[in-house]
Amino acid sequence: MGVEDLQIIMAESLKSALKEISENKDATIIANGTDMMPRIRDEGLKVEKILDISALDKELSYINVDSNLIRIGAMTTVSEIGSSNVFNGSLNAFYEVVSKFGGPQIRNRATIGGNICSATSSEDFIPLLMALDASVVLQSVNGKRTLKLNNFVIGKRSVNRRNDEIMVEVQFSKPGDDYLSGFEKIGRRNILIINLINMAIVMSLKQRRVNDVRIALNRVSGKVPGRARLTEGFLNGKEIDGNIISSAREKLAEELKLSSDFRASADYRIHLAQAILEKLLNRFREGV
Amino acid sequence: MSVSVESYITDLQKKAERGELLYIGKSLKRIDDLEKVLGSPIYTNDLIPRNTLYAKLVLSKYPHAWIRSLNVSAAASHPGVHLILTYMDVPGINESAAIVPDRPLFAHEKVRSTGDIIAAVVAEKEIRAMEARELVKVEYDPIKPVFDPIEAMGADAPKIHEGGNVAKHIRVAKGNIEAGFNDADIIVENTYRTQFQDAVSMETETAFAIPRDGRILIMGSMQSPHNTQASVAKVLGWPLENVEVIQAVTGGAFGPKSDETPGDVASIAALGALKTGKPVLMSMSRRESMIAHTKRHPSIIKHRTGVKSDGTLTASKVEIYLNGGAYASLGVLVIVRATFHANGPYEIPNVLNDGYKVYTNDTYAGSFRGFGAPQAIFAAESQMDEIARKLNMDPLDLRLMNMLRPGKRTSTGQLMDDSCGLPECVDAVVKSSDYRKKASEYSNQGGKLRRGIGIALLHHGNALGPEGNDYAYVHLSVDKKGRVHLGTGLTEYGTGAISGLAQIASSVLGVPVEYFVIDRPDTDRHKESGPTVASRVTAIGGNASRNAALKLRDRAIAVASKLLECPLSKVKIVDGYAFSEDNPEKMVSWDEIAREAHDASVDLNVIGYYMAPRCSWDDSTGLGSPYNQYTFGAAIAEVEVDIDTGLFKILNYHVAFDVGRAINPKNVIGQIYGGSVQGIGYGIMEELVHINGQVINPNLKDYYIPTSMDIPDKMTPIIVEKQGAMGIYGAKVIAEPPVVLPAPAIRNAILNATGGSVNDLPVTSEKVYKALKH
Ligand SMILES: Cc1cc2nc3c(=O)[nH]c(=O)nc-3n(C[C@H](O)[C@H](O)[C@H](O)COP(=O)(O)OP(=O)(O)OC[C@H]3O[C@@H](n4cnc5c(N)ncnc54)[C@H](O)[C@@H]3O)c2cc1C
Repeated sequence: MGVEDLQIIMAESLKSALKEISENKDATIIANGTDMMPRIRDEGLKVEKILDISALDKELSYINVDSNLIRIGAMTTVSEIGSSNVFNGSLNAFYEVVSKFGGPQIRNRATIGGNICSATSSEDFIPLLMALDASVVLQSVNGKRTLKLNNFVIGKRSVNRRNDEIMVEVQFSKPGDDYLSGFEKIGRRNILIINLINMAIVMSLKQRRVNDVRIALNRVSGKVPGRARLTEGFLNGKEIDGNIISSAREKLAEELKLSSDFRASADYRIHLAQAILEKLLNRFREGV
Repeated sequence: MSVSVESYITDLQKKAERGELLYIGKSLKRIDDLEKVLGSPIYTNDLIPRNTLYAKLVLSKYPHAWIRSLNVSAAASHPGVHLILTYMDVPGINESAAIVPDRPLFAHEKVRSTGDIIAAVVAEKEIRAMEARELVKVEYDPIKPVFDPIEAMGADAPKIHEGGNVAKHIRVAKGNIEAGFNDADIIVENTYRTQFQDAVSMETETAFAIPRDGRILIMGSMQSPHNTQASVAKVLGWPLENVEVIQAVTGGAFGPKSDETPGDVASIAALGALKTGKPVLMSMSRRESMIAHTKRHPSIIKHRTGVKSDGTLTASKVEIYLNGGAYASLGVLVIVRATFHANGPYEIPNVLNDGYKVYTNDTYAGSFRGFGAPQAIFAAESQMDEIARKLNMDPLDLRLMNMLRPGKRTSTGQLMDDSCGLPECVDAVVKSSDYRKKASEYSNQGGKLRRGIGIALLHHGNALGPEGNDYAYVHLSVDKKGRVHLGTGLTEYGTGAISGLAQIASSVLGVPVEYFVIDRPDTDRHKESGPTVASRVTAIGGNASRNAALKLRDRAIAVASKLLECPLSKVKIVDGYAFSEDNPEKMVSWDEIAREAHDASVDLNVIGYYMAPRCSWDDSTGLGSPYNQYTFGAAIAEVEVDIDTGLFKILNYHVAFDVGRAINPKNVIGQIYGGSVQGIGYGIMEELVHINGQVINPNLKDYYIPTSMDIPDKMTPIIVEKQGAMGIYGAKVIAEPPVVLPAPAIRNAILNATGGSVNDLPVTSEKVYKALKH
């Protein structure tokens, strides 16, 4: 089965998209296709019916701040996130994700909704949004529901989406001014990589004391993204110094259960995660 | 004409040296620059008419197996499918092999790698062919495979071909190796390993065949149309003349398109076209190409070097095992070049090199830019740094002490004449990089980020040498408008070399390059000129182009002398105008000369020919002078390594090549940049990974080549010119050597920064990290 045999349904609006998906539950949703198209072309992914929601950018491309709640529409592109000033200050990590994301062409097309729904360990927004304890909003003809991101992304390429739902938004509370955020990823070249490991940290730091730290990685166990709870528990309430950082590195190694592949061995991936942890904590400590 | 050709050539040579030839040594614009930038060239896949059929390959699932049964009936009855081609459909010889007849076009009875072609499906749409190929039923009886070349040489290793698993052995032997080791104060032994590299030309292998009244026309992407013609004729069982091959605009090649794959795609397209009576396109997907075409050989290279405590090299024993994959390909020549260059550019009195190209059940390896030199020089130059460390000597000093200079001899015993510009290259990069200062600065560093500086040198035998007869033809034909059509069996595939041939002819004729039109190479029209490989177009083809232009010039001068009413010997042609020396005011333009020639029935169609002097190589003694001349090069890389993670940056890269004479300096620099980037890829990230004979990353998502973000911020190419004996105006080859130096230079810089030796390519951050934490 290939592109020529596809049945393609073009949705003109969110309303029509919801109707179509309720009537075509077997359809595969495609937003801007940067993840889907290579899978169909190169990985032989078999799809027969597509619901193309790319025209929904009219309705679902937004970054809104409602008092303390930041809401990002599913069709918002990576470039749009990069050029918004909403993320200045405590949410600076968003710009770090953007600047290391694909190349310019990909950034202009890749959507945050597609990024979350792809649900692989190469998706960079997932750890950052997990560190922010974000929720996704799913909508069907029957209404909306909100789900914590860690209950939504449940495995590699596996999300908790009912087959008549479209993800319309991701939202999280804006952290206070005493919060810091950081993101780092490492691959085998400088851009256009499938990362070996990435990590996002969000935490509050007052007089060197760590509070409410949230650390998320693209891989915590196997290839599934998640939070490094043990390390978080260790760091909370501590004053960061060199010793604490090295102990945190040890804790992180204890809780990561990674696997090797042709790109890197498990122990090197763990070592890189430790190095990123140290780098980000040092950066926070030095206030840069 | 009163002037003899010889004296005219000497005169040209002198003028070239004095920089007086109008078009030589000038960075002229390439003839195809603009169309390349506009994306307007017509590549093979742009030529396809509507009724074309598409062919897709069925590749082997096993690396080594008997084919128990092959059933194509379900696939053949799939909608849109016209034909399934298998070994049974080959009317001629079922073979697609360059030198050793060991590779069938379609697997028969046995498969030896996962790149083996079992069948090709020909259908109305590509998608139908792709669906149908899933329906081709093949039953296999797996045979025990072998993937390690040294293991494959063992007595009880699985037999891949009749006649053993060593496809080629070659030996270089000089002096007395045992005496050399006895003379040594220390002996240094190391084993180096290199990986499969894919060429990743932007366009994959592709061919388009049209049946034509008992003949067949093939247009495709390739380096050597006459080789493709011979492959197709063999498969069809036809005389050569009935197969016409035109090289379409070719989107990169790098060597694999001179090996066996262009023959595969052309033969399959031709078979399909003849059986169906319709045009057939056989165009490999990236995946098919990365699995089924030839790559750079992985290698295991063992070095044992004897050295005196003052740094004098006394003996070098090298064993090279190239993992050839399942077939010989041009790899039987690759091992020759690798073995000749295995000790690096040094004079060593006692040498014993054994090179083996070995069959395994990996996909096959073959011709690729550098042709064995990247593996050989990586090992040799890494070994030099290991020796320097043992002696506590600066790696540069060790090299200065032992390297080739005029009067020194290579490992095969070849005497270096005045054209050996290695000292000048070393000097240039040492100055440009401020090596001495940096080496002392970096010898004492603390902290997490450490800098290092590394050096690597090379010599590179020019053109084919013992790989074949080194000749070329160039056709020049002037039409009545004065346009000079240049045709040759040599091909352009991205380097600008054919523009260089026009530049050379234009310098002889005195007619600007703007008058030149380059014809598409066509076996019906152009004489076979040997393969377009070994960086030989400018050096060898340049001589043929000059010879053609000399003939044409005689005829044009005769016409001009009539128009100018002056003696032949007085006619000069400069920048498109002819005049008499005695009366430079009166001029006739090249356009007028062309028109007059046309009207007066003067034939302005000529063919120039050149064959390089034979080289000497004696297999029985392991000695000789295998190449007419050498290119030399030196590189210095500077890196910064994070010793916590092994992650590193290449800060800058200085590289100098002795190119004899830069016919077009801009193009030379272009080759240095491009080759260096491909060499950086080879050095630090590229690797086509085989696991149990299966290629696991045959796509550009998982196979990394460098991006603009991965190359050094600063690259400094330097041209050194010490004229060689053979090449046109003293030119030496440059297309391949640049790919060789980055890997050892970077590896040595990392060693300098961290004290960690990475002896297998690519030098990834993980390997650097592991070399640090033992
Ligand atoms: C060259 C290249 C480089 C890349 N680099 C990076 C990188 O650096 N970092 C990174 O994180 N990713 C990277 N990606 C991956 C990809 O670009 C992202 O995952 C992107 O955000 C996906 O968005 P999209 O709109 O293209 O999604 P699509 O491809 O259209 O869809 C992706 C998946 O999400 C589902 N989906 C999309 N939208 C919705 C929705 N609203 N509701 C329900 N399901 C939905 C689709 O069904 C599909 O399964 C790269 C991709 C390429 C090709």
